[in-house]
Amino acid sequence: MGCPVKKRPIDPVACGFAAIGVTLAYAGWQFPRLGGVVPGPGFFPMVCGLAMLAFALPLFIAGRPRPVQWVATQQQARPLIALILALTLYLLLWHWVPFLIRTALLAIVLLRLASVGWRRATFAGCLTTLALWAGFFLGLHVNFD
Amino acid sequence: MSSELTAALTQLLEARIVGFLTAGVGLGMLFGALPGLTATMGIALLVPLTFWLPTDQGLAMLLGIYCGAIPAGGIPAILLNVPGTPASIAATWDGYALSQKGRADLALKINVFASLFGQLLGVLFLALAAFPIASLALRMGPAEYFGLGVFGLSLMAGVSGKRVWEGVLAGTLGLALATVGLDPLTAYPRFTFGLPELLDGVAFIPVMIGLFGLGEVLAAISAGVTPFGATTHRSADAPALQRCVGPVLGSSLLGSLIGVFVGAVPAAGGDIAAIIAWDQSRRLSPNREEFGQGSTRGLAAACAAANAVIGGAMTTMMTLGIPGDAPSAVLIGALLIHGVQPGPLMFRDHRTLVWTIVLLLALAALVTASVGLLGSAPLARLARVPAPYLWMAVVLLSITGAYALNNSLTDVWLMFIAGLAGFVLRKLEVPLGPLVLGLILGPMIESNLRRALVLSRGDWSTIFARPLVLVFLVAAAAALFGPVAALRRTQHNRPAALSR
Repeated sequence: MGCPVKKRPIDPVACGFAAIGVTLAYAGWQFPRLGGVVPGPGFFPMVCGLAMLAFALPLFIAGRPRPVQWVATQQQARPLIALILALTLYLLLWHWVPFLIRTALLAIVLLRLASVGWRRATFAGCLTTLALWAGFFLGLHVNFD
Repeated sequence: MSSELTAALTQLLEARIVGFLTAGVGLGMLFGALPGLTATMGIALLVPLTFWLPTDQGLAMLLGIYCGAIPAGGIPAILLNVPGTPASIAATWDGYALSQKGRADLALKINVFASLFGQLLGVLFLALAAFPIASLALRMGPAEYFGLGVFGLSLMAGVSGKRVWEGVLAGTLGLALATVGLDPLTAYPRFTFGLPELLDGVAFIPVMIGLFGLGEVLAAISAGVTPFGATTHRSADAPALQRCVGPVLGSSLLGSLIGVFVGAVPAAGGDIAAIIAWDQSRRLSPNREEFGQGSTRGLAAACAAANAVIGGAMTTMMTLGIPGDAPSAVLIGALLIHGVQPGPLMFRDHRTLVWTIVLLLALAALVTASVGLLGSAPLARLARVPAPYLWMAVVLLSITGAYALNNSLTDVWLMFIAGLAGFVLRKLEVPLGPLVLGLILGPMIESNLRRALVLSRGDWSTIFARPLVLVFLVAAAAALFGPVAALRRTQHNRPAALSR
């Protein structure tokens, strides 16, 4: 009977940064080199990549378990994902839907996701949107459309 | 010097500057008093608004926000046990205890006095030390600037707490992000993926807005709403201000000196300064047991240190171009937008502006103290605004603020991506401060190293043989590996401590 083999936990931070480091170092190596003795445009990214790889090594060796609690409870997952999707949609619709409509809608959605009542959400969302529009468009001549 | 000081004083008397400064203080106090909103967020969100203002008026507003937010963060800390900003964490320890004992008015007055004391001492340090430091910095060449940049970056290990390696990695990621765009020497495009918008590099302000605005909201939503339901006990017989001042004068001075020093150290902020000052004040006090139970001296030391950081941080930022803390990092972006490059050249080319900043900071401290004495109670009520409304306001301001900088949708996407990255990094316990430091110092380190190599015809030994470079690099190694060694010692001693 052999001893039970302890599985070392893999640190996602160490792996992620090591992967970025390798990519950076490789990309830096691919940049053109200057003919002279002065380092070219790829030198600094390559150094950054190698440094990242070197600094990720201690974390990788330590193999610290990193239990990531993305949300406190499952109830918080829904508004978080919905907000990210709503923001993505908002940015994708930037050139298609006028600022006042898309921003008011986003504000109402945001407040509704946090369980604010329809009436309050609509009032607060529209008021904030109007205030922003007045401040930026009327005051500073920033056109959001 | 006197002519520039006179010119700055004349500028300061303009009604519009005083108006923008007061508006900035008001907004800053709003951001400080609302838990979840910080001075950094306030400055980052409002930088785009000042883009259309003349430099002095824009700076008046931003410095007002900076000076208003930090003391106001102490109000919810004292009354609700909820720090308004990270810098007011230490104020909760004694401030809330005082509040629970029915001495909230005394605690609020100490907060006002110690904050004013700390801010004014910080401004005095800025006025006295900035010009000599800048004149020394003017004699430095590219090699010395490279060494200074490396030293500034190495301090990221010290400010990363227990997450030293994560902090160093985040700093390196910041350096890597700084390489996006045209190469400073050859104009060769790097990591632009064919997008012309990225030729100028990663825009600094949208990244900051994303990291500290949207990222914070996402993290708050994932953690759930925090109800601010604590009760506030206020006494009917509030002591006069002059009676509060005497007993806490020594602690305020100690806290201010610690705050100025910590503020001058790149990337170390008010939270660290306040904790150190509170601890040192406790160690020096004959009544140690009072600390944490409602000690007026503990509260004064914490509040003074958190505010004195402003002067120290501004000195490092203005003289060397290195941010002293997170708000001053955003202020660098604001100064660049207004066509002023922070660093020693600012003291040669924009001397009046330097004095304007010094006087604006002093005036902002006085305005903040006046508003603080009158408006602590209404601001405390604001701290009970439900979190969803705050989140909505921050998300909308993040979007509009990021767009208004350059009228560019790319900046809004950049802010969105930075917000997502900020959320993920927070959850993975990777500190964000070093990332910002790397992003700011990256161009300085790279361009100066390569410039130094051009001057020395590629000879590395001449760079490292320069005494000041060597001093900076040795200090950098000590700053980087000191916290690592301390962490190893702690980890090594932990089993023994546990067994005891």
